[in-house]
Amino acid sequence: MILRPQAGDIRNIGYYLGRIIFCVGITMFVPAAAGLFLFRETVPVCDFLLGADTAVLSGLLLSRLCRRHGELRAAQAMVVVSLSWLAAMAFGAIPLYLSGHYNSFLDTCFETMSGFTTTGLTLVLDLDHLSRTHNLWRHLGPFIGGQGIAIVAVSFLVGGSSGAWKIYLGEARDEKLAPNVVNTARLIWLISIVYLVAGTAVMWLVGVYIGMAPDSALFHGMCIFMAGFDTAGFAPQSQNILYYHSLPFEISTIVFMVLGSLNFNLHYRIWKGSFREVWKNLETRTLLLSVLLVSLLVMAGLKHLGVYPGAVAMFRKGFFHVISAHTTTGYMTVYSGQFVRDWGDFALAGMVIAMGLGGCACSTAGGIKMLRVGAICKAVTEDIKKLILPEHSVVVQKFYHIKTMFLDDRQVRNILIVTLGYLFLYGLGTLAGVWYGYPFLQALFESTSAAANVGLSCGITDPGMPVLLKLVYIVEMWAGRLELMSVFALFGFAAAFLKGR
Amino acid sequence: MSLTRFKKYACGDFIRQFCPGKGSGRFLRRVLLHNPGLNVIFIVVLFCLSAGFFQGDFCLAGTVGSRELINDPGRYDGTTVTFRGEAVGDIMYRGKYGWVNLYDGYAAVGIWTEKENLKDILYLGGYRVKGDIIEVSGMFNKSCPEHGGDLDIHGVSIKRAVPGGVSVIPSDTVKLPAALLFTAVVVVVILFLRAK
Repeated sequence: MILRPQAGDIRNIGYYLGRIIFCVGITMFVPAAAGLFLFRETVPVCDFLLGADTAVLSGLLLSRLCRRHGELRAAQAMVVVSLSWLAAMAFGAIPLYLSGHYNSFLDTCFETMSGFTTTGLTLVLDLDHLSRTHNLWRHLGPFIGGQGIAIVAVSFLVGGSSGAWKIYLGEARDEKLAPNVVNTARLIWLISIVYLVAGTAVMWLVGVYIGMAPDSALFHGMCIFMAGFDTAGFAPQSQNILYYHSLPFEISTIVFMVLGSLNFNLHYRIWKGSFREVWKNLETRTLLLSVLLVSLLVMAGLKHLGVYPGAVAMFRKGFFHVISAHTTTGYMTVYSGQFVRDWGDFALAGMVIAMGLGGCACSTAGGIKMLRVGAICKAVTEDIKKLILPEHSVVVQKFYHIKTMFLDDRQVRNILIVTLGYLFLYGLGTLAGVWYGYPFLQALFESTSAAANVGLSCGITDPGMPVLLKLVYIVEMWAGRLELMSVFALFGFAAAFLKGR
Repeated sequence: MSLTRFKKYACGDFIRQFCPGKGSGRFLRRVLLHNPGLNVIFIVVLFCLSAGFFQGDFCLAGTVGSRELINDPGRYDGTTVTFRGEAVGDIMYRGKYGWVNLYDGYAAVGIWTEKENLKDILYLGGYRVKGDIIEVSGMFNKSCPEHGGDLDIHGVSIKRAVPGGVSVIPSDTVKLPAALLFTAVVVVVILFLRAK
């Protein structure tokens, strides 16, 4: 029998949701302050004040109306998480909509969801003339979303609570860097901020070296780092990374994309001086192997069609985009249409595989994740061994990820459920694309890019695309970021509300 | 007008205009005027030639847009094109050369040219700034071997077609008071709730 949620459940959810909306509003004051004091852009500052005020007021009223009612249960936490991402999308979209650079509010919601989920698909019009204040918000979104919107709010501004760990799990994170979840979240932020300072400095130096004005190089460096390390793929100019026409710039972004796609736990171990962890870890080994194999596929496709004039150009373009796809960042040094017209189906298929597999668990990357891919490979090996070895032999499969772990059937089952969920998402968007008349491979490419939170586009994502397709991609980005479980919990909650007793 | 009258008068007038009465055109004029049947054939051939000229050479030699360059790069690869667009973002000098990106409303294309050519660009498009509209002629590369396979134009001649400028945005009479009023309301609500 399904139990209908009680008033206490809804009040609890409303309370936490209100606090998170309040926090989203507070973060909007960051670009507002930058716009007022650094960029001197008065009108955009007004956009952010209006957006921030709306979010702060709504959050306050909601949390006041729904006072906390006991402990936050796991199911409630999942509903809070899934709703908080939708709320962040809606409130975060207000300042961008007021900029006048979007066709509709839906387009701004698409952009904000794309940012918070570190996807990077964009529907902005005339990006080259967008104010720096709005551009900063576009890039700050991934930086906040990459660490997890709800956990940020709960850990820093709401004050840690017993529900924090459940919310942390709800945002598709399950690894502790510290015994306490609040400390874990703070460590994740500490790692991110240290990288932000160092990464911005590096990108600024590279920017100056390639001939940009120092102030412009600083702004671009910070934006590119935030969107690169958080595997979002946004850039301040419409040409994305092609704008810079620079090999050093591309190499720097490759480094940050790879760093961003690594497990935060791994970063922490490296900080602690355990460099051997990188080579021993199943995830990093799988990532390395997968990057090599997919690079070979893509290069073979490019070589077969003779897309680039020499091996150097082919490697530069091919490897950059494989890394961009595999780390689920989405940075591009070609135009969207070139993927379809020049790269050919074989290379495109390689890119789809890279995007679908994704980066590491407990990072800002999306996709199926390397830990799952590695574990599935281990499970397959185990089954093959069982077939080959004598019947009574006991086969135990273990792997190393931060510590030595044993792979049991329950783990494999959980991993396969999430993997199937991702495949379902990729298929859903593909069907929607094909329904609207796009060729199968292009529809698959774009759908995988949205669901795996990549952001590479072969040209389907455009302000003029069908409204339903925009909605499907929004759902894919949202569900892909939360690894489906919280979304299922929300649907379950809605079903219980309608059909429960 | 009957076909005979058309041949005699309309085509005849055209030939008198087209072929001069002296020099090398004199013979052609005489032949065509005395053979009305040839008039029509001559005009049709001339029309076909001009149609071919406008469809092919003219477009390649004239201004092309980024849409054509990106969507049909093979057609223009290695040829000299003239591209017109707004200079946006930054000029990035690299030794004796430099990059500027020109945006023509569809997409921006990178222009690689000598440093001297970039000196005339005064305004670069951005927020509140309308960049100079630049017309550049140079070789288009679908995948430039010199620049890691980038789609670019190696500009030979660059001229500022339309000067840009800083657009003065009047203070928003709706947003500014609304934002200030709303902020004041939020502050009052927060203070009220805290006091309560």
